[in-house]
Amino acid sequence: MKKFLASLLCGLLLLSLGACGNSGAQPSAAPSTAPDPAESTAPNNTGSPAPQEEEVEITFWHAMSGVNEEAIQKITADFMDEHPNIKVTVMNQGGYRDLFDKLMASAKANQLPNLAQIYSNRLSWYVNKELAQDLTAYMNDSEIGLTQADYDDIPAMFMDDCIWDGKQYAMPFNKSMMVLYYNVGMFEEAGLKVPTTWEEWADAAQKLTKDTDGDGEPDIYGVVFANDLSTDIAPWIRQAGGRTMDEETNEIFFDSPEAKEAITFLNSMFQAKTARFAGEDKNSNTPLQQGRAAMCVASTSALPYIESDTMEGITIDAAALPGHKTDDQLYYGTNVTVFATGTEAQKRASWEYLKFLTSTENTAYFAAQTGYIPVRRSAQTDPVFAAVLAEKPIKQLCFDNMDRGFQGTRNIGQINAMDALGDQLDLVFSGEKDLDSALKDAQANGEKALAEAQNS
Amino acid sequence: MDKLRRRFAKGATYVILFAGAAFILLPFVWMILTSLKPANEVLLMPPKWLPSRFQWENYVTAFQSAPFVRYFCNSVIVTVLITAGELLTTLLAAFAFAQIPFRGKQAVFLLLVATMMVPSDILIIPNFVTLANFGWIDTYKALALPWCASVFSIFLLRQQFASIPQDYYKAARMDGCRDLRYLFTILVPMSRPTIVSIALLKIINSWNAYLWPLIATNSNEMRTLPVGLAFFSTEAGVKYNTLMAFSLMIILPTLIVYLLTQKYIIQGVSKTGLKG
Repeated sequence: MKKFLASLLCGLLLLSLGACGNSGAQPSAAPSTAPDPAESTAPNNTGSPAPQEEEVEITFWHAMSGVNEEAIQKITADFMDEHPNIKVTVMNQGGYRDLFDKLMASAKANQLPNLAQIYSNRLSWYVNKELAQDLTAYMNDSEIGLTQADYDDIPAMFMDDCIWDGKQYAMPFNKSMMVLYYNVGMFEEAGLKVPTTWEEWADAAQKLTKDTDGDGEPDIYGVVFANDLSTDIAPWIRQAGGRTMDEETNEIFFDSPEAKEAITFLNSMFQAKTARFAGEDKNSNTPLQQGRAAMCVASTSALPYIESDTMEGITIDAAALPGHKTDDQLYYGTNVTVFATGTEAQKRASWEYLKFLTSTENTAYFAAQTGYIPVRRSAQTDPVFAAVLAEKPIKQLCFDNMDRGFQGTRNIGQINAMDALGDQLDLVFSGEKDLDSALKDAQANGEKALAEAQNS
Repeated sequence: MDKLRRRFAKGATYVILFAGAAFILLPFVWMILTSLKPANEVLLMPPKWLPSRFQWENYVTAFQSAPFVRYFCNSVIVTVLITAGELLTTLLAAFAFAQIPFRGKQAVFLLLVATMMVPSDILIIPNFVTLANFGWIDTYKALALPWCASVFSIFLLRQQFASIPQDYYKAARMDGCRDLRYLFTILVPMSRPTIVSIALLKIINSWNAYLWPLIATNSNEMRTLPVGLAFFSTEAGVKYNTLMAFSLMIILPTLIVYLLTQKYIIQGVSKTGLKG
């Protein structure tokens, strides 16, 4: 009797919830694919595209908010005006981490959207699992493909980030560059020029660090780094002539003379108290905006915040990172991929949308509205973006340094391995561990983390 | 002399209470002040308490950043569903574990308690896959159902029910009172403070839930208020002033519920030693 009662009550509860769900909003904008097994389980990611005629709905998941999201919505509305047979639902999925968590859950549930913003080091997994669409056939299509001029227009660094084994699975979307922001007034007052080498940089940091109240702790730091510097260490290792890992062989080079040289240099500034992490300031540009730092290393995507949040009387400019043996500059940002789980019509429509999103006019518009940079060189002459460039010369840096630019490696497990390095480097920068044993442990932990991720 | 000592003791109590209250209220006051500051005054060091001018338009910006009314309605619906669902499952399970003898009771209870060791983040992907297979993603069912039972609440209420002598149960049965009637007319009124505490904890948790509502929905029509918080953050920075304005609008309803039910909460805290 009791069992019966319990079952009955459970049933009632379920029914009541069901009723509420049905009476509410309809499950609109369902992600791409109420899966058609024939389409979704065996992705056709090599076939030639079929022409686009029938009505088709596609979904694009992104992690852009505020003005970034508004820019995407405007471009999408323009696309739908031009392509009345294609309905695009753009959906913000929180921050990057939320988006990637949701993509992973959706991949396991066969509920992936048609398109998503994604870092290439995360896309590797989807490529490996054949969940990402090889776009080559669409890109070479005489009607909807790219021309040679288009290929030449998009920097190779960005395109290469989307290519695995000669096949292209994504297009570059929101890109930015790591730069050295500096307080113009402080440099002028000290009679210093903006550093272009490591030595000049360390010297400037030392001269600009000030202990104004004499308590032994600097009140103005020479340089402030982002809290995740340890996982973004690649530019300094490359500038010392090394690299972090090999994409082909999955070899890790954390315990290398070049890594040691790079970290010794950065650590010398931390130990001399001429550099610090953002810490409670959260973003490295915050103390710079308030005159509590002379320089900071941050992304160009921080530009809108620097423009709106800097205190009156402070002028901020930016330069490329000071170089050493090489002048390598880090570019980062996500690409937009098309998943192979959609129908043929959805995949074709997704490509058309992706092409539209990254056209000169639209990448220029997106970059003009946001802190990001265009993914095409031709955007420099686009009237909308040219006006922005004239007003914000910092954005010009991204074009001037493209030939020296690189993007991070994309090994499956790269994030885990870099985190392992980051854990050790944090101990070095805080003075808790010596560099040699930290690099040795980082190498061992990194190899283990990479192997684990590759096998999972 | 005695009077003086009593007066001193009373004064000291007030000083301690005021200090405690100020300590607790400080973040809240900071939140209100931040919500009224211009962007470049939010992170100043040393901190600046009062804004140079009160920027009330932060609230307008925050309100317009997300479909506030729709998100608010969804938050209310989901919170009510989850709280009602959890109270029902908790009452029935706690009653069974505390008062009804059945074979394997101890083993089942231990098994349930053991699930408290599983971090809820680990369950997100399996829950999503299960609900996706049911076709429930982007419905209220997906938002509410996974949270309609809580082992913690069952454990809490079971302890409360167990403290009520079995003699009541036996006497009620002798007078012909059925289990459910005994539960709802005798046990529930005797345990009201604990039940209100459980409900309130659930209301606060469901009202503030961020990750699951984000994962389980694909359209603006189904999203809840905390998801709107994501609108103010990007990888390059956070708009703290509008974020705080939005947060304040989100927490007001829970604050009101708290104020209305504080009598029971205090009783619940004093009985169970737990607080929200």
